[in-house]
Amino acid sequence: MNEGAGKLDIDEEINAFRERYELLSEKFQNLKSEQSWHTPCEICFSFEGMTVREFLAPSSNNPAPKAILIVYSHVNLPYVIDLTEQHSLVSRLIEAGRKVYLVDWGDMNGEARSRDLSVYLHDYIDKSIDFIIENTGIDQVDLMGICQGGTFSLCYASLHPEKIRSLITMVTPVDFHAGESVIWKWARKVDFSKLEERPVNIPGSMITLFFQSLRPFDEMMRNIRVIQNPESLKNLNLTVLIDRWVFECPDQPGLAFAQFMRQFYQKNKLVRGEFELGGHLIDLRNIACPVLNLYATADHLVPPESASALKNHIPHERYSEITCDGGHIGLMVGTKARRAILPKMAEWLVNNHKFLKDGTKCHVQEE
Amino acid sequence: MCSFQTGPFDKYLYSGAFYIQAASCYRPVLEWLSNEEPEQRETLMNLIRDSWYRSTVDAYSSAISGMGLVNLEASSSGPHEMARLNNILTIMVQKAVNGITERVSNYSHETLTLQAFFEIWIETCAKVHDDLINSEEFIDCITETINASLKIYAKGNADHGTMHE
Repeated sequence: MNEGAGKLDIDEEINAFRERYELLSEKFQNLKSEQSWHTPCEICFSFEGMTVREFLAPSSNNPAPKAILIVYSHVNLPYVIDLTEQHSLVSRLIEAGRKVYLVDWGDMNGEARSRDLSVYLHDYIDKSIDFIIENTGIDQVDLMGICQGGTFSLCYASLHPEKIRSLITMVTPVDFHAGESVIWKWARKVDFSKLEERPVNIPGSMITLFFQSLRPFDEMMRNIRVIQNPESLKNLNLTVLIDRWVFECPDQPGLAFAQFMRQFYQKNKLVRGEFELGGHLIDLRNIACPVLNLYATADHLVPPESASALKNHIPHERYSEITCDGGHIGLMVGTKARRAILPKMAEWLVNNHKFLKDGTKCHVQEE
Repeated sequence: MCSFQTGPFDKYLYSGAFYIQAASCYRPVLEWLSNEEPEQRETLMNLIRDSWYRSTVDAYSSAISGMGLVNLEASSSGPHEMARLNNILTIMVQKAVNGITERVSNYSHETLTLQAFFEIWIETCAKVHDDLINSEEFIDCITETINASLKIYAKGNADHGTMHE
């Protein structure tokens, strides 16, 4: 081995890497990365800290009012659904002729720690739906739930089938024991009763740390590829927005968090038909509308087995699904989402709850 | 350096530092592949072990500190669980080192590029880490730690509304 030449090559490679890193750092510092909505929007309704945000569409796009309410997970902030024109779930829904609304859970203050799950279902989502119905003059609302928000939406659609025109669930855990997610494995033996007895809010930084600890080396590889790939400089704005979003987990309301972990993750009550909320039993068979289920085949947070279990609870003539290769976040903001998944979802909404060519099932492959 | 990143920008810094650290092991690896001296293998393993130990064990230690468990009184389960966690992580480090050296030995000093070495390094670490976080021993240990943390906060900080970080 020619040690001198080898040493030079390695040093050159490391120096080139350092230069690329410095260039990237410089670009980062010049980028605006504050949380912002791409689509103009305003708060149209509020209740005890929770707000409903209405996205403003050009009036010509909405000849006959149809409205959709997005229920996002409590675990992350919802602005990821509207990062840029190209990466905007909101824009695709507006293009599908919907007035788009979003439930925003609001800041977690000291009061939030004692809020139980029924507040989220019976107060927040129900009052939001009633507001939309009253203000648009429509009888039913399309409901879209993302991740944990999908679980909330399934519960709501079961409790109030008369108010829901169609339901879209995205990366939503349904059978919490299927696929043996790490979250379930870790949650099995945690004693959430202490948190239920004396609730305190869980800092968002702990939730971020938990997610970071699941796949640190895969994340590291992604970061290195961003540094090494000259093409990544072109999409830096989007990269920064997503990076910031990943690290901005909000505090979790103590009681609702503990209830969610116990009732869903530990006892799997949703698919067992045993989940009771404010004296009402949640029975997924009560869901009376067409359902579109979107999930990713390599999702390590919501395993595909967990999400796909929904098909066992909805009659097949009302059940459709879009699956894609890839992971949890990619389904919302990745290239595949932009090019294929979100347009397919819009097609399902516009085309009377069917896909134009593929009937009720569609798989988006890795590019 | 810590493998759990703490913010959207420093994650590139940490990842970059990890890459540089892997690169510093690359030259000894090439030397080992060119003459396979047992002593060089040992040096190499120590380098990898040291790097891995710092990146991963430090990450969990700081996570536990972040949960406030370093302030637990000696009678509580915290210190015991930390020692147990340390032990599990040490075993894992050995698995990573063995995995990396085993895969690297399939190459010659002429065919192993820095990029290939780094990918072997990361993939092996990812696999070992995945096995770790799904293992019952680790989950038991983490569960005990989380339960101790919840107990403390529910007891002491309920008036604050949010757990102190």
